[in-house]
Amino acid sequence: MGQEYRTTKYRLPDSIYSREPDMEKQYGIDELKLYGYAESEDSYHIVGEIIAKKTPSTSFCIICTIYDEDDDIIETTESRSYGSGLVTSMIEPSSFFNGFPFIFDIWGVPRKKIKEIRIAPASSY
Amino acid sequence: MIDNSNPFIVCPDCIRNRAKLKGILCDYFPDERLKVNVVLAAFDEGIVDAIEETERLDNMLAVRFIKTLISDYGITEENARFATEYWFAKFGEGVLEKSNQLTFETPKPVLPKKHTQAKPNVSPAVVPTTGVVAVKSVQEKEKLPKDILQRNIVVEQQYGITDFRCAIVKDYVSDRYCNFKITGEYSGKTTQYLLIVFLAYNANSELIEADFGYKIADDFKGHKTFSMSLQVPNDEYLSKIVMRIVPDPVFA
Repeated sequence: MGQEYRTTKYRLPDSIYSREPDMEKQYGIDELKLYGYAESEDSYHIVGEIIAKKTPSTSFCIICTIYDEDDDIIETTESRSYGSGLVTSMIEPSSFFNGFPFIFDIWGVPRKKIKEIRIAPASSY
Repeated sequence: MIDNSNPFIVCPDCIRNRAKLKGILCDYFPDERLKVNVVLAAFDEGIVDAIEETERLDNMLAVRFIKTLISDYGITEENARFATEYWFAKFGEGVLEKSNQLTFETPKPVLPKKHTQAKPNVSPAVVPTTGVVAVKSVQEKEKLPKDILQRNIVVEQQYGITDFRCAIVKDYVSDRYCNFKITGEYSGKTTQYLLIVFLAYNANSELIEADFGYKIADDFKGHKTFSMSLQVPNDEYLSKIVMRIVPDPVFA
């Protein structure tokens, strides 16, 4: 979807993200919508929305991996956990709704070192 | 004789004191928060200094402020003109007795429409002016309008939650983003662990923030208060905030 209205000037460009469409299909995901911005020179807040008309049949989590220009991984993290006390980053079918959210908080990675941010589902973290 | 219709004459201190200014504007516009906010936004942009420094109050100076209020605060042109012209008339002309040479008519402020999703037939990077709240235009400790929150009461009741209510207040502000604090209360009786989820959307209906960190116990019965928060960029626009109740995935 094209951007229609003005958004934050600190927004990360859509071109920085890469995804794994085959794996998304495997988990029943129709689309991942991503919105990320730089909170400072080296920290980022990435918010995602999982679009799936049919509720996924298995649990999964979302992993973020950051690559530098040598295609080396310089950061990897699972999405922020759900709940409080006993928590999990796993997304369960019984909790899922179309547009289910996930968030990544990333610190200590200078913007100029980031070539690619890969966002993909996984069976565990 | 004192001009009681001019807050800057009745209370000269308010010209340099934002808190006093807000207080007296609320007295002059008791049921018109929009007017209070747009006049305060012009104050925040330095209109007092600009009026003091200028030789005359003309269209060129007015346009400068109108453009800033539109682009940086998401205020409509009509309301930006109202704020600018209010300062020109009440402060520039009324207090400093400067020549007011504005040639356009003072419009009445336009009340904001109900918060709905943005219309898609607009060119890229357009500043939204209706149907959204510019984060920047919300003052610290100010509440968001109630109708920005969307809930599904039927689903809440299915999970055993009743009498849910909350307020969303702009809390602290950082360089690039700010936090909205959500405080509220609910009643009911539950039989499973639940999460309260808040989702914030911008003018493009993109999800820009979520909080899913509040748990309701499986044996909850009675009444409880809660506090959650949403972090959003200062230069974003909010079209809606959605509240949902979902089963806690830890116990799924």
